[in-house]
Amino acid sequence: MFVLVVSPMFSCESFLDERPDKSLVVPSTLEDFQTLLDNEVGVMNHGPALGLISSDEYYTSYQGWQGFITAIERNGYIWKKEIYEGFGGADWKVPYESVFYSNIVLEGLEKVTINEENQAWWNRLRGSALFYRSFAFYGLLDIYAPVYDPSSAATDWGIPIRLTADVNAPVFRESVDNGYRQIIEDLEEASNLLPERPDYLTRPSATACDALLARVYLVMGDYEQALQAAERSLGKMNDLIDYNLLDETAARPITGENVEVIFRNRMVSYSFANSPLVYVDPNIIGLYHENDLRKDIFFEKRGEGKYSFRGTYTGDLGLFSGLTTAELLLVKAECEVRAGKIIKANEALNQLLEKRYREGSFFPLDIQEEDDLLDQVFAERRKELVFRGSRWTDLRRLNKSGDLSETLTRELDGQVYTLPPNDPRYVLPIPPEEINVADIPQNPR
Amino acid sequence: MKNNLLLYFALLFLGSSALAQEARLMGSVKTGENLQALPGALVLVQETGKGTVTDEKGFFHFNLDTGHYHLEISYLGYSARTVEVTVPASGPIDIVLSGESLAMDAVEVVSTGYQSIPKERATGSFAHIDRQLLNRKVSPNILERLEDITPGLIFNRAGPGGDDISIRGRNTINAGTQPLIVVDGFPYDGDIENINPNDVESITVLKDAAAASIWGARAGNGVIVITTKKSEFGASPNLSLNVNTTWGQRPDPNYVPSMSVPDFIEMEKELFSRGYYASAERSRSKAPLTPVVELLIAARDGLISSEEAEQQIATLKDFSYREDQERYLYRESVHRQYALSLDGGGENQRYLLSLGYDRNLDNLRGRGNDRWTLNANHTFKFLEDKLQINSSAYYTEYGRENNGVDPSDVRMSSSSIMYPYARLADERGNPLPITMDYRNGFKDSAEGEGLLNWDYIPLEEQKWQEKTNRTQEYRVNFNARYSLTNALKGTIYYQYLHRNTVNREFYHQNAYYARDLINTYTQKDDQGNLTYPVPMGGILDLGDRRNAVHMLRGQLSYNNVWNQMHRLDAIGGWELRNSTTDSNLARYYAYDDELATNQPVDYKTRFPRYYNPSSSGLITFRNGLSGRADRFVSYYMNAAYSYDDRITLSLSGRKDMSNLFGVRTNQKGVPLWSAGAAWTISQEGFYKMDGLPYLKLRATFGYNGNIDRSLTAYTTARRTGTSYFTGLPYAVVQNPPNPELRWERIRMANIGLDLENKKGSIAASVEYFVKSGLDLIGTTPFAPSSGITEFTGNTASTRSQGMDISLNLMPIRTKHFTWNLNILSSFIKEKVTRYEMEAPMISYIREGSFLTIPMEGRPLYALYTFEWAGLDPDTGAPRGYLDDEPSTDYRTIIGNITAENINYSGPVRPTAFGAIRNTFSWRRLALSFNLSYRAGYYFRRPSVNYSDVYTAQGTHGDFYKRWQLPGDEQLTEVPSMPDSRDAIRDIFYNLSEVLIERGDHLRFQDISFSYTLDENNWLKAPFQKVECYAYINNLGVIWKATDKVSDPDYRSQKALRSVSLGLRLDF
Repeated sequence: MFVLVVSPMFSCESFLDERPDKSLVVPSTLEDFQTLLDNEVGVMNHGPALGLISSDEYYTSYQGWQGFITAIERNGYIWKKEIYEGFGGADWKVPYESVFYSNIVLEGLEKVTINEENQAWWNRLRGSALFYRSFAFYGLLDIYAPVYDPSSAATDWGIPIRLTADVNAPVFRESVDNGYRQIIEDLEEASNLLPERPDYLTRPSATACDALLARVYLVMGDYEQALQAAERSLGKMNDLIDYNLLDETAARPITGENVEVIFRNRMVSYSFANSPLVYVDPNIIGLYHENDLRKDIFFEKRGEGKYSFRGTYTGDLGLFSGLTTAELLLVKAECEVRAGKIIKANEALNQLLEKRYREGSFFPLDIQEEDDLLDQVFAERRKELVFRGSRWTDLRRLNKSGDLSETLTRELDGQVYTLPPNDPRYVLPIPPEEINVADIPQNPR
Repeated sequence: MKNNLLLYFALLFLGSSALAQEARLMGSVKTGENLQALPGALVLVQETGKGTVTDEKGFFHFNLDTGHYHLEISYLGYSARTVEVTVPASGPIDIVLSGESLAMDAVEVVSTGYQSIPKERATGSFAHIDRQLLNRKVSPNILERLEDITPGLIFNRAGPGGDDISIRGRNTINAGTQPLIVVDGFPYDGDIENINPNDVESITVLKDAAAASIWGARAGNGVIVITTKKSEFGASPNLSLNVNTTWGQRPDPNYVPSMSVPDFIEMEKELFSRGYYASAERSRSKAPLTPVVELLIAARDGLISSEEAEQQIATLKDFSYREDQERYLYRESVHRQYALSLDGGGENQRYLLSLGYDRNLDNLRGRGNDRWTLNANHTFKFLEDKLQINSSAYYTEYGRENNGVDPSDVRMSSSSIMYPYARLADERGNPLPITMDYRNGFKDSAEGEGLLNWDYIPLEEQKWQEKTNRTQEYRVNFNARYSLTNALKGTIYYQYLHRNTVNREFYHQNAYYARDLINTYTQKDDQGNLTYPVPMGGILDLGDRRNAVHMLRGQLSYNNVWNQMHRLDAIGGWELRNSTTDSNLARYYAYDDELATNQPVDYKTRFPRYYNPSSSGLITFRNGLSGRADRFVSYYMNAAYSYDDRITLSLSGRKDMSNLFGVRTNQKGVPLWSAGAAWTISQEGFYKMDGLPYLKLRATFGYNGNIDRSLTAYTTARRTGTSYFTGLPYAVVQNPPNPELRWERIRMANIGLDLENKKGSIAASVEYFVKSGLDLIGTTPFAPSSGITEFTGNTASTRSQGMDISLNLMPIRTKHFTWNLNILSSFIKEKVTRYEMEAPMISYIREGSFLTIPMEGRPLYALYTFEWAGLDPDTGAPRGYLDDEPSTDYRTIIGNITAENINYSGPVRPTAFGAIRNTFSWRRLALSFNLSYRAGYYFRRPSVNYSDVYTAQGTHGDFYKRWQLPGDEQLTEVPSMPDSRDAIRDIFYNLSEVLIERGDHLRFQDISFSYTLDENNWLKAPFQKVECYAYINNLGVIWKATDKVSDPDYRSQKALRSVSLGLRLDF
């Protein structure tokens, strides 16, 4: 009798497998993975804002600058060599968090038995995780690694490419080239797994894969591939908003749920974005034609010659850095010019601008000179993609390619700061919490 | 039924009982004048060499062939006796041992919860508190009674909440901080208030590894073992009644000095003239303004003359919210306690029944609680005592009502304190409204528009709300012990505990909470029609929490003695525990208490708020469910070997497996273990010190464990909510996988020396211990590229060392008069030895004393400050040091602080503490008083904060000691008032070294008095014994190191004095 009592009477394994807290989930089902990937609230669908902070689309007064809450904004604004003053770095942290979530899903999916019923969902989850991870890597390379240069990309320091959810895995910086190769490889796989169009704008789709590929190839200077990707994407989705139909008196004339958005992504938030002392650079305002509706839709007049930005595609306070059909038309236009296809390039631009100008006032462009047309494309990119962070990407790649040679200047309290083309400060420093713990090389500034 | 059971067991064990030609001899060993049971005495049959040891009740038994025998009974400190017996005996034999030269009042038996051990044979650190000492203090809570009578145990008054009791310091950073409470052999996770102190027989506190390691992964914070009363076999029926009442003082709202009402009003006027209220006046959310400001606005706008305003303001100066609190919100507390118990026993059974009722009226009007406890305990012996079955049931019903208006919850708005001239009632005591949440004018106009009256009348609130909390708990215990042989016993224990707590908060429609919510969401359309998204009626919040715990244990115990020299006591067992908790919370709108009806509301639409239509909100949704399961499977053993009462060696081990730990820990984890040795030097042949007939040296080493229930070994995610944009549910990763997760380990070494002199007038125990917290749950920074920025796992460690000294003296002992002096003294030095996460330096300074922000090399709770360079003689500004020069550049001073140069001002918790208890008894009178002391710690006293003055929040009374003219810096250290708000200057001063005080003090804790009458001196009485007693608690501080505050341990509210009177009757 006592032998019975003293020895365990049943298997401890199952008895001790009970979850301690019901609301805790050990992610293992497709639904669990879906809810992780749907965390667009603070993890997924977020990208860096440092590019916008450092680019020439806005200016502020000395007082406004002092009012920026974080050192990153203040120092980033004047291109200081060291920007963190010890703390911070959501631009780095948040994208890597989404990489972590994606890796948890990718590893978890391997343990799920696939059958006929769940195959489609399984595919969509794998494709989504690959896409989210690629989008995060793309954003990080854009900020923390030198711009892609075919001659040195194989040796330039890129970013850590984490392909495992194991938090103890060693950290090291991959080359820039390996970084982009990984993105391309993953996106190509993902586009075969994902549905053509997204069911929610926060979820990836095959269209989004091609759209991101177009961006990636453009940055790499592979205009032929960029054009193909852009055309594939536009082949699946090419709706545009007719700005004549927007209500410019509304507080936010553009809603988050609109036909141009292929994939919704926002920048991590900073105080400068909502500072009343931050104004849009007058050079940008000057680019818009008087019949261009974007001037009134995108900006709010805040005094003589002073405008603030309100035209974000998120529909809320956050700044949009996702993918739109309009951006792809601009990629297409640029690649067509570079391939010498003047007519097609003009067509692509006109397709977009027709929806942006006051009804009946638009005269289609017909620019024959290649250089002029390229400059027009660059100007159109500035006008259409304002406050999206893409100006920083363009400054990096176009200064490098020689298409542009722009020196940025800021003035604060009588002091002038400049950022010449191809300056090492076009690569931002990695946050101290990474450098201190992971022992990886910092970017030279 | 009883016969059937007997038959069943008889059949079951037919072999062993039927084949024997032997008969049973049983008896008990008692000692002293009052015939107290003597456990652990050695009983030896001289003829056969068979020996046994008396159990915890002093009983022993043998199976012997019929014949004559000589029994030798011996016990350390008593003259051995030999008695002649005949088997079969006519009945149990009682043997009384009388004291040798060594006078011992009683043999202390310590309980580990698994077994009882005579203290003489214990190697570990136990503190045993008997019923008499526990009853010295009168309180409804049993644990409170341990304060200042238990060496090494302290009640924490500083640091974060939820960390009330520390035994030998704190042993963890993030995991559970409270000692394990064991009631009658099983861990008790409920509210200790559910245990009636009148049902408690004794408490043993297990302090070191050897004592506690049998509790394994839950013993890291020490163990408090509560043993409830049981009756004795053969005891005659005894009925006893205990009744007492405790009256407690009214709280003093003026305890912390503050700026006077007239000065507050002057400040409001000054701020008004500076335009401070302009933005609040324009506030879209109708932010409330005090009556003075409203009058100033009215005068400015010409609605009243400025003379009239002045006149009305002058009358406000006479009002005092604090005095009104004292008069209308507080009262003297009254606690009544009744306890009745009946116990007795026969030859083969014993029983105890007790009933308790407590009623407490708290010192806040409308708050109180009551408790019913019912305890039934029964033990049967069968089969010539081979089988003993004990069953017990304990039922508690605990109710609280919480309808009082607590002044600490009453604010004018979330950002403003209640103005100090608020009036709760007029001269005749009629309740008055006070300004709260919105401006009075807005409230009036809203009522004019048809909304509900929006006034907040504190003294009316109690009528319109019913907040109650009721807990019902029952605990059913069953154990059966069977003696397989004289030495080997097997026991099965089972306990089931069920607890149900219902929290009910009902707000009648007239309650401010309900009116405010209804009005806030009232919608008005263009025609002025009103609709009510929060429907008219009451609001009911109903929460229900159910906890069920099954515990099953099988245990074998072996006690034997060979050749009168070797003695082995061993137990081993297996245990299973399954605790589940479910809770749910629901809110019902438009609840009608009469009909129990309610109405649905729209939780999904954002409704504009009436007081600010440009803002909108969702109707509060308060429904939720949660569930928890804690499961353990454990193996344990404990063995003690004694040689000739001189040397004892002990070994203990336990392995816990839990659903919290990972697979790796459950499968491969090393058991927590301890080993100990005790050497009674005075028993050695070479020992010749006659003056010190008892001297014992003890040493132990081992490990205890602790658990952090918030962690698990697996990657976990939590569904947190629904995305606003997509409407899709989403999840957050809660913690990354941690397959290595394991219990925290506390490694502890303890050395103790116990001694006693010849007359028994000096008994002392000195213990020294070193503890190391290993594998503590701590946070480590991680490279963000891994996806996490910090990782919580077994990464931190701590180290502490200390001493516990207890000294019992009896300077005078005559026939009628004795004087006992008990001195307890404990020392503890703690530090964090490894913690990788560093916080910003300002956080240590600001929060190191009350949040858990560990810094390597310092105690867990430590005070960090800014160095103080005195006041600026020209301006009266506070100064710190910058490059060794006095400076007022606070920003740079703060910015320059690093982990290397941060100014450490000392520990927050006492590093030395203890008590001195004098007990006098003269004939039937007994008087005892306890002085307690705390030393070696520091605290930050509150002082003036001018930012509060400039935001119309009033400030500390140090305001009147401020620097005003050059030269004042010689007299005061309170800075001058700046011309305008200067937040960083206030932060600097309030966190500077000048406000640090030593906490050392000596307190007259309590006094107890009793008068006893018994049969000896009151023969005709209907009672066996009558005891009248009185007890006064919190008599005050006798000495303190600081002259800045009146009580270093009670800084925001004084230690309230209480007086108890009671009567104990034994029939």
